[in-house]
Amino acid sequence: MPGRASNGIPDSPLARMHPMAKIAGVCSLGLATLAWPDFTLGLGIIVILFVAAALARVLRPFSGVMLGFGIPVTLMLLFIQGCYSPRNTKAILDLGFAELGLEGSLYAAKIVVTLLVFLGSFYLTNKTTYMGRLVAALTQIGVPSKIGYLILASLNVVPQMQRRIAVIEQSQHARGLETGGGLIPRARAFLPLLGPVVLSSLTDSQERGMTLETRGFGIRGVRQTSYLEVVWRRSDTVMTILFIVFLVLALVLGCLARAGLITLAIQWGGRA
Amino acid sequence: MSARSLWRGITAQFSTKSLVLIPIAVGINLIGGTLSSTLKLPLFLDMIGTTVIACLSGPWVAALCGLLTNIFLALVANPVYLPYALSSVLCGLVIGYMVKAGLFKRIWGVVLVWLACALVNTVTASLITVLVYGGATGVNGTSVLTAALVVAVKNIVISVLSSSMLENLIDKGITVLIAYVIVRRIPKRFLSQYALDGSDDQADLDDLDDLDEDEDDNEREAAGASSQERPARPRKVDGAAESDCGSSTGDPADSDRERTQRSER
Repeated sequence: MPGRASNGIPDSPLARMHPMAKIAGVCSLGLATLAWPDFTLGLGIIVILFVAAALARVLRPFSGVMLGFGIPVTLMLLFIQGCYSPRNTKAILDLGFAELGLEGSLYAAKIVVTLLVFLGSFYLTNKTTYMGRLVAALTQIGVPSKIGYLILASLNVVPQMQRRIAVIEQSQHARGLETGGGLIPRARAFLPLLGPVVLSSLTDSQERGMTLETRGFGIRGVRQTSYLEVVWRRSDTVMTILFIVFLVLALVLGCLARAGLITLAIQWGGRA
Repeated sequence: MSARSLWRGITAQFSTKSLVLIPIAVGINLIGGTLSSTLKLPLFLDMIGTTVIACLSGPWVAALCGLLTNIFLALVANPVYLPYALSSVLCGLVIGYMVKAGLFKRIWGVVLVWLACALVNTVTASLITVLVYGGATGVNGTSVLTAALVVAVKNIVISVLSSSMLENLIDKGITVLIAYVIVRRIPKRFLSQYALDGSDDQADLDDLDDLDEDEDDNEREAAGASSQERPARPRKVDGAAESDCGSSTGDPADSDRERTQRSER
């Protein structure tokens, strides 16, 4: 397993997983939460995700993202849906100017939990996967290598452009450009900063295109090989099967619950 | 048969030249966003690159560029942006086809592009906000505006739509304006290698003379007062590109001068 720690990703079972298995996990967990009629399943998955983050040794940034996104969006949605949702019938709290409805709050909770499951699993996948491996895995399953190039190149070009814009900002400062003050001067500073970056990047892209062409990038009918080999192991198969079984179970149980065949502890606000 | 020719037209847009342009355009999109946040402007400005590439390489490349921008944002910043890829893709297509129809050469056409882009973005982004996120994402100031409007009108869909419309009209207006200025500054030697250099471009290159038009300059053109003043300072296209830093710094001064001229008149 060469080169993993050097890519800034701590070694862990999650980091050793095949990227495609992880993506299957994101889809399975997210869709299961979406299909489940209330927010309880999602809450459980979020707890599991926190455990997984601790295992992958990314707990600190993970909880930062989850709380940093979760708290504002919960407050927002509780306010918007809880107080003003059209399906509110039962008031649980009187805020003075509006009443917090039970159904809207449950709906908001369900949305927040679904979002957090998608966000968390996506973030974990992203944090534990080296992009080169992801792209190699994508081309393995038949995604055109040009798309792979585009993803990797975008990831590389952006820091490069940020460095360039720092240089341009300093040189424009030296020429007397004001980037502080009121709204109008700041808005005026936008174009002198952006223009040189755009034009020099465009000329750069010309060179890049020629370089790629000379190395056979546009060649047809040949399957390109990859520098990075991504191995699909038995544990990946097991995990993928587990994810699929979990998704199917959640779908079946969710449908049954919605059809009224089995009852769950907390009903989704939308049904009341 | 027409479907096949359409497909061939689409794949023809994806030459290597256009492909290497896509990461650049994605970069421009993101740089626009970061710049507007470092300059503390209350805007996104994250579709400048999409608009520029729509002018250079065509609608489908622009659509792919929009998709990649949102994927990149989701990977790097916040996965919340991922569903909005739909509105980026649609905007790329709309701008691309409007540019293809020649609308980016006249001021009224640019205004049309702006309005169409703002409309498409408003509708799709609001639908995504309501259907996926239930009304607010909590990642920017628009959510606060939405919440305030919800209190006022007591309807979630209407308040999301109106806050999104306000935001998009301003944001896309500035985006299209900046993209227009940038596209006019790109040297024709560079423009001519891309898919969209149609036969009628040759006539248009003649009025690529005054490259230092600033924002207020364009607004004035939109007001219809430009025809007397525009050919006043003809300038070589290539020269402006080679000294792009210099001409850019000259911008505020130039437009200041023009503004004083205008006030004298």
